[in-house]
Amino acid sequence: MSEYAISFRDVSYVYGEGTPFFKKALDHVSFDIKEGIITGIIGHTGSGKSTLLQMMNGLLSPHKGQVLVKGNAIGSKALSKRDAAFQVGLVFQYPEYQLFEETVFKDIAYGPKNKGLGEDEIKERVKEAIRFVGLSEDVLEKSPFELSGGQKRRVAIAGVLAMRPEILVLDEPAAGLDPRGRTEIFGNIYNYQKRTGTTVIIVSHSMEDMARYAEELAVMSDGKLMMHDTVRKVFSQRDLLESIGLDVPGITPVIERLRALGMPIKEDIFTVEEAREELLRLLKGGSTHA
Amino acid sequence: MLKDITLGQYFPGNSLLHRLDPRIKLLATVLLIVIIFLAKNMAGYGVMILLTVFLVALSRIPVKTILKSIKPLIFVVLLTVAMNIFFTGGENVVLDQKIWIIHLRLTAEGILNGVKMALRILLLIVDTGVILTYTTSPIDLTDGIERLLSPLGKIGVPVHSFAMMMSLALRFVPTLIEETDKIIAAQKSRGADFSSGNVISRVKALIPVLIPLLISSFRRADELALAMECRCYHGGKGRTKMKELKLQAKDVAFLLVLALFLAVAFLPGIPCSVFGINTMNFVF
Repeated sequence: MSEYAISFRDVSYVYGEGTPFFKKALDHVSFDIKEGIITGIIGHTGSGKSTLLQMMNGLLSPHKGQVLVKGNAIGSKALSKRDAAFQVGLVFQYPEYQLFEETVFKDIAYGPKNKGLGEDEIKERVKEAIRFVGLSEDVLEKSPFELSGGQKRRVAIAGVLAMRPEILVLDEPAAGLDPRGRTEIFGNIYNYQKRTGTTVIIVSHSMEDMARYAEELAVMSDGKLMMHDTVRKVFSQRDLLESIGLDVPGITPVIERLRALGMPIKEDIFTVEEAREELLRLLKGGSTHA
Repeated sequence: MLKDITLGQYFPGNSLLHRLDPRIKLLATVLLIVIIFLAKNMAGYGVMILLTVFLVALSRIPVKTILKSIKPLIFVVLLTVAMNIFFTGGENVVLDQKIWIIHLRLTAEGILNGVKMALRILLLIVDTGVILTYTTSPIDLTDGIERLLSPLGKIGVPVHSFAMMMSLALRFVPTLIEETDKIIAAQKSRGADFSSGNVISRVKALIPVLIPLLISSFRRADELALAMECRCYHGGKGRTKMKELKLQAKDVAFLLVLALFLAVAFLPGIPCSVFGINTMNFVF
């Protein structure tokens, strides 16, 4: 058994070989994603994030290299692609566009049913999943198309959670939602991770969300892995991040400016909560260490 | 997966064929189709093959791409060949045998006919591909069609609406293919299985793909109509074009050369004529 949830071993992937649309999506990518934590993947549009995600559950096969789930290569005898799809639950961007059933219940049950589970088991899982995404059981008998955008998104995520994947992968789970919807979705995912200990991998454009919820970050640029480290270490490389079109969380430059003005505030603050605590500490006269 | 279908897909480039006026290319295609159907004997097909090779070279489209576009139609070609070989009567019997309950009777005429049919279909695919679909962007194509059909507008045919519908349909083909790929990927992630089981369960497995696709098509159509109205689109009346089509010397020259080349082979009075109206057997 491996201590890593997913490992990339020298993975390369190209689109449209031999046509004018040729594009290198992944270029010799190697890294290991730890079990039981939230790992964030950040990168500019077209940096290879989506390709990376679709390799984690066997939808795409690398042209070179290997992808391992808990030590077993996808597509090997030990782990078929279909098994990989059940072990690694992938929630696509705008997953509400994949809803198709007459009722929310049936839609969430689609994955577990494909897994070949019994009816009682499915019922239990659907109820559990709908709770995890913060919806009441009343919606189960409604048509998914009557729901609001945010609710549809939650139902779609529940459809993957109901499969109880060992690893949960989400591509921009909060894209297109209002700030409140964002916080709620991320809060749900965060709590779900804490309660179940599932390995979670999130792609997001929001550095603020990453700073708040992720433990480690992988930074992609032009199909290459630029960095893979703790959130703290990644965000301390502001110049490098800016050189590849990314940024640090919005609060960090504010703190830097305050430091430059002579305020004895501590370095590497990446979330508003951290900043608030530090400022309160300073205001209460805790500035003795400066 | 679905993206690999290349039949009828624009292949960007900058060859002479890419730069020709779409109207000329449409006319040339019609001309070539007629000529292909008029080929009288093997010499006629030989001329067409030479011309096709020349056009392919002119378009600078990789031969591999063209071969790939033929691949999905191989079945149709083979079926046509088989039909012609077995159902054409003739004098020169090559094989006459009774196998079990099937009476096989092959004639030289039948085989020749089969070969001609195969050549005819292949030439049609390659010629229209090279001259039209590979080298003309969908926008140019509908533009050309609209201009060519514009005389019909005078008798009340809504040519502009027709052209607009066509260009919108063409524009959404890649979008829909991409969308289908995405939905298939999403349902596969939920454990959908499209490749095992009997026919009925496979068709059933497609429902989770077709319904979201249908819904998103309606949504797209709705959004597009709204976006067009927001930009004050109200049909073709008084609408000007950013890129006016203008015939240039090279356009006229191309059509003339093509017409001349074919006229020499076609004119019935000329002894070396390899085309004629006397063999009008169609692809079924």
